[in-house]
Amino acid sequence: MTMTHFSHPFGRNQLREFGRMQAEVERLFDHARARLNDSYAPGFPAVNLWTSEDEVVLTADLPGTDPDKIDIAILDDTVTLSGTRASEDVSEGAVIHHRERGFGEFSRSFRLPFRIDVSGVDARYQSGVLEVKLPKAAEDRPRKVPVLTA
Amino acid sequence: MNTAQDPQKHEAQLPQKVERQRPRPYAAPRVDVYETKDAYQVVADVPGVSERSLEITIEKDTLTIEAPVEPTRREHRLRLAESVGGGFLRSFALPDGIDRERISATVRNGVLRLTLPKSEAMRPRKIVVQPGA
Repeated sequence: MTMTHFSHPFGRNQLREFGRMQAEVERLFDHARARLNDSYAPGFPAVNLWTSEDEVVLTADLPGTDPDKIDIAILDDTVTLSGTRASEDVSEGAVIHHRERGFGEFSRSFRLPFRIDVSGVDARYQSGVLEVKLPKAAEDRPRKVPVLTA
Repeated sequence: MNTAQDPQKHEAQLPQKVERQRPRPYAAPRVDVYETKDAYQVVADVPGVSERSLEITIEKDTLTIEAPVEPTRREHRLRLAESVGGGFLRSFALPDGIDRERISATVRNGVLRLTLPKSEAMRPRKIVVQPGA
């Protein structure tokens, strides 16, 4: 017998509606944050999220960012990526024709459906892509409850 | 179009014949383009691209950057996909007076840097006015 979660006080539809509202609120916040630094495209860095039973893998497109300047903060079920990307060093007297690449500070937060095991987090940076493995905390993993015979 | 007065690189259409089959969509990379007295510099964000997969071609007056990104195979389910994933593709009309033999490119940390040196004839030069006899 596997016990995954307790029954919820809300009905299924209400729960879904609540999730939708939360996503909408987070989207608006991301927009507001992006507007603080309008050098970047909205939602910089672009992020992909993969999930399995035991972990979430997050990848973020952060080309040309010094890995030492990337900060990954974890609080319960929320992961925040923030950092700084240096602007391009343009020699004096150069004419700038295009400037599309953003620079300066960035920050994005993601809320996962479980708490994160901070000690098991692993982050790598390669070819301008940051990959963070976020394992599920032991207390949020499904547990098998043995049924004892009387 | 007056490239002599406005050497800014314009987006160019790919020739009709070069239609290629791509399994996944390509994105136009974000670029910075600047010009010094000796060269044009193109800096493009191409996260996930290594020098092996990058292809830079010059056909007539069009310079094309094409960089497929290998799809990541995972057993996990993809839940959020903001990154286009297929790779990057963008073409530029080359301004006049580029020394095509000396174009160079490097990729580091997902950033492509292209240097397009100006040919000798196009570099600014001072003409010394000789005193009249």
